[in-house]
Amino acid sequence: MNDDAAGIVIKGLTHSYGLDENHRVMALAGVDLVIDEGDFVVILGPNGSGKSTLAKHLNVLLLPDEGDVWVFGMNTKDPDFTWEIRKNAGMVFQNPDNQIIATVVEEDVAFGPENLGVDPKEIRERVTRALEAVDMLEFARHAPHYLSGGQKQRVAIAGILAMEPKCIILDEPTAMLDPRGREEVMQTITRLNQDMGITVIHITHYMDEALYADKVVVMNEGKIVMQGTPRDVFEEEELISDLGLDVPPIGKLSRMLASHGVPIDSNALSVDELVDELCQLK
Amino acid sequence: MSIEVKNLSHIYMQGTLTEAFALTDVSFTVEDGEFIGLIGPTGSGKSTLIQHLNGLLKPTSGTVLVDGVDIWSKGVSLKEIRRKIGLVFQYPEQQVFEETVFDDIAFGPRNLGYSPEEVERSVEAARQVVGLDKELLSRSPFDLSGGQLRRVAVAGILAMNPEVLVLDEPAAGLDPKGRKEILDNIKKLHESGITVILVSHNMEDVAYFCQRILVLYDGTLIADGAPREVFTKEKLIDSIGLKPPEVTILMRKLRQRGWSVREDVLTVEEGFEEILRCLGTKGVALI
Repeated sequence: MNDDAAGIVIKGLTHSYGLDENHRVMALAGVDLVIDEGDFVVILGPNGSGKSTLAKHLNVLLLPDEGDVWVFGMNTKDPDFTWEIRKNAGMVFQNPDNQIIATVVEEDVAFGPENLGVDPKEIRERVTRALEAVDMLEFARHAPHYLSGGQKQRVAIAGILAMEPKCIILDEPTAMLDPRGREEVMQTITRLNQDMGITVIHITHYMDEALYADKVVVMNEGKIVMQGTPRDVFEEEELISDLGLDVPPIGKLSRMLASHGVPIDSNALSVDELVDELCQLK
Repeated sequence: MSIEVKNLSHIYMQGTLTEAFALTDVSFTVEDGEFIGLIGPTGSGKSTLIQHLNGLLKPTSGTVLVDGVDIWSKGVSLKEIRRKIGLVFQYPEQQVFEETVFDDIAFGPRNLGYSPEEVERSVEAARQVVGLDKELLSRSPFDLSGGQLRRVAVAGILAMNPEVLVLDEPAAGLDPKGRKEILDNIKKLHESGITVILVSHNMEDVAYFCQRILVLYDGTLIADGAPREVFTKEKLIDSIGLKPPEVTILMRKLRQRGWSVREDVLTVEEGFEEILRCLGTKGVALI
């Protein structure tokens, strides 16, 4: 056990891929990161920066070449902890169609706890609670096939919740969704974080989704290059755009207005913030 | 080349218990050289519609006319229609199958009987448009990242020199830079004369790149117009779960708070100009 039993601790993590020594690609090149229990963390970074590789280390889909990862005090290298870690840190992926296996929603959600050997009566309660938490209880008996993308992702999240994890890791869960689906998923995970205290680690290319986070982590070429609140991070506009990322549109507009002499906070990031700033002007 | 869709309806599994209307009486015309955005929530029929444009699906009723000719009439070569109207689907990982990236992009042109030199040339041209590193051409497509795969899938269609390019979410899963690169390149293709139909959930992109937007909802075409017209149909857009660009929402909220800003503002630059104009008329001092 690690001293710091809370949250996730990553120290000196490296990982490379490749068939042979001559073709190895360094996906993670020394990552140090601490995520406190109950945090909502968003990970940003260009394609190929190591975000997914990092995420896969958090539930033992990958093991470090060097360095260590502790998940709620358990080192991922210790095989005795593998299942306990996976139960506590569930993953949701990009394409909802690849994650749903059963032909009825509630059976899909029950798959995880069944695998964990949970008592059937308890499974039923967990499935109900999980579907309630993602606001999909009315679809319990539906075929997943006919759900919208956002609904499918919420079912996938419910499947993780039924294992009663302390942490959910979402790897671009909104990339394929329409605007309403995206909003459904973002609101759902915000609720899980705020009401149930579940630690959320959310990987995305949508910069506006970073505004939901307590902490934003920016990766590039296998390293963490920046971390802080959404404001801290998007203040570094130049660095953000050098990395091939972007400041959300309202953030850009605030900056343009402020640098043109409009006396407002140059770092307003959301529509409501900027409306309030502008309406204070006399 | 023009595409005319007339009273198109499509029913999946017709005559069975699970019969479902995917498209109902859809009509519109795509003129040569347009850049059209096709938007609508998941399940609204977008994918079904685009598969009719090059004859991958046959209408249950109605017609699809390419340059005035019904593509399902006798004597029409669907193979030729599919070369002229290239479709790039949403999941690139389901569209690659060759041993190397080069072979994958070259599959279409080879199938069309291009000479090896022509194949080489079209692969190279397509590679440049999608911004794919040259060294990746010899790699297996299955070693590539999601973003790279998406570029390969687009390049494979481009290599056949289509006259109309239909793209289903070509930038999903790409980082902002990759997204902008691929869309800027598509814009360049459009400027060189190719007709483009872009299916996307990203309203900022659609507002910025497209001259005209078609909105599909529940299999019906419910709006067809310039981005400014479509995105200011506030109730309509809200009711079907789409979202106008952020800057348009900002303008809407400023109007609610008594500002006399225009509401048909779509981009950051336009929003900037409009807010400055309004501050000027209010007499707010700049510092």
